[in-house]
Order: sequence, then C-alpha cells, then structure tokens
Amino acid sequence: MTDATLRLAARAGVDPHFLAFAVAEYAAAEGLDEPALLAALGATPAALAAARLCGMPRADPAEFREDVDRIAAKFGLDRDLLGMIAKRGQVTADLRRARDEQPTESAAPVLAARDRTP
Amino acid sequence: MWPADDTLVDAWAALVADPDTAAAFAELVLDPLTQALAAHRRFRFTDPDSISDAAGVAVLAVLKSPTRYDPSRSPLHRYLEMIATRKLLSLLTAEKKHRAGRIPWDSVELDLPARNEGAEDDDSPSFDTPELQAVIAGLTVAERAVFDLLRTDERRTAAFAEALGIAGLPVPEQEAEVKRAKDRIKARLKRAAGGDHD
Repeated sequence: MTDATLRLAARAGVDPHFLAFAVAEYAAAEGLDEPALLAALGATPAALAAARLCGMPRADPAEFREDVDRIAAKFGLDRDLLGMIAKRGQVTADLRRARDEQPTESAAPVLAARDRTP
Repeated sequence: MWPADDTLVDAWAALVADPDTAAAFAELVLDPLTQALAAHRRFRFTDPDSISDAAGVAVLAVLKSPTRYDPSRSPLHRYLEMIATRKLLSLLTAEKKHRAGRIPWDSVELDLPARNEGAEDDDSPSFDTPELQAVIAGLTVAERAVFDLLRTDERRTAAFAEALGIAGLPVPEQEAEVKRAKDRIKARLKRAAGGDHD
C-alpha cells in the first residue's frame, strides 16, 4: 500500500462516515500512537488503513455485529476491540451531532439584544 | 498515468457492491489523480501538499457516496478530476484571501492613493490610476508575468524563474535575477505612485 493511501486513510478520521473516525477518537482518548494502535488491534499498517476506509458499522445491533465481524475477519483485526472502538466512535459521533444541532448558550442573548429596538 | 477506463469502472463497481474494497479503490486512483492535477497547466505552480489534499478529498468523496458517479455520463477519471479541481480552486482562493489579509501587498511597499481607502470588499491594492496603468502597460511580457505573480502574493523563486524564462539557470542565479526583476518593477510602480522620487 502506498504512503498516499495510508495518509488518506488516517485523514478520513475527521469524517464520522468512516471507521477511521472511531479509530482516531479511540487513539486520542487512550493516548495511543500509531504503533501502539497497530499492536492493540493486531494489525499491519495496510490492514488498519483498509479498515479505516470502511464505512462505520451500521447502528442496528445485529447489523453492527455483522459489520464488525466482517471487517475484523477481512483485515485480521481484533474483533472485540474493533467492536468496542466502533461503538465508542458511534456514541461520540452522535453526541457531536446533537451538540452541533443545538443553539449555543451565548447565541440567544445576542439575538434577543439585536431584536430590541433602541 | 490513469489505468484503463474499464479497470477504473470495474474498481468502482466493486466499491459499490462491497464498500470494504475502499482501500483498493483508493490505491488505484489516488496517485494517478495526484499526478494528473500536478501536470495540469493551471496548477503548475501549486504546492504539492495542496494538490494531495484536493486529490484526497475527491477520493474520499467517491468512497463515501460511490453511487453519485454515473458511468454513462463521463469517465471516472474525469469525474475525480472535476471534484479535485473544484476543491483545489477553493483551497487556492481561500489561501489567497488569507495571504492577502496577512501580507497586504507589503512587499511592494507602494504608497497607494488615498481614494482606495474604504474599499472593504477588495483587500488587494488597486493599480487603476493612470500613472500606474502607464507603468503596467510598459512592462515586457516577462515583467508582466512577474507583476501578476506579485499580485497573487506568489513567493516561490521557481514560479518567478519560470515566468522569466530562466528556470534552466542555477538556483543562485535564478534568485538574483528574480530579485532584480521584482525590484525593478516595484521601483517603477513606486515612483509612478509618487512614493519614491529618487
């Protein structure tokens, strides 16, 4: 696998669509660098890159398990750890989405003040 | 160099059928796309990191929504190049605005006419006074190319050397020649703007 593809896979970590997002969140939360992450998942750099570029497992429990099992088997990753990483990634993505959809606390007073005529 | 169209379409079809083949698809298209952008005349002076960024964005877009591509409408490599080109132009525009705000034509050190003050929607200086227009009209083709590069806040000697047709010279000579050309143009503009009466 080329360096460019390895970099692309890591870069996908900013997008919750990709499994790379969950991997990046997990690595950051646990303070793991790339070699430590590879060791934890029992993966080669190419296998982890390939897994990162897969879509996030589906939310339905049965489909989630199916997706995790398939990706772990295909790329030779630790299935239990991958499942935990994916689940945490989904929760993080959901929380961020909910936070982004709420108006900020500081916005309301500013809008109210602007509405008032002098 | 791009693989054959059939190879690309097969890889795309595999991606649609099995999203787990994303890495194989990326491996197939990422380098050719990057090379195609770098070879494009429009981006010949664009830094490689920006080109890689744009290529990455295009590939990730297809990985994310492969069915947005319709093979009956255009070859896959054209589709990827279109996405990447749009992204690259967007990146370059943002970078240009950022640099214009950070380094507002300081390098030229012109004393600009006061009537340009308040032009809030344009953060680059105007050169439309008759005096400056006369100087610009008198520039040679090579000098005009240097002037255009200065206006875009271009910093790389290689870009100016290319414009001056001296890219084949040793780098130290290029640097000296480029500096002379820039200084010459700046001095003429400054003099015409009334900022230098030497």
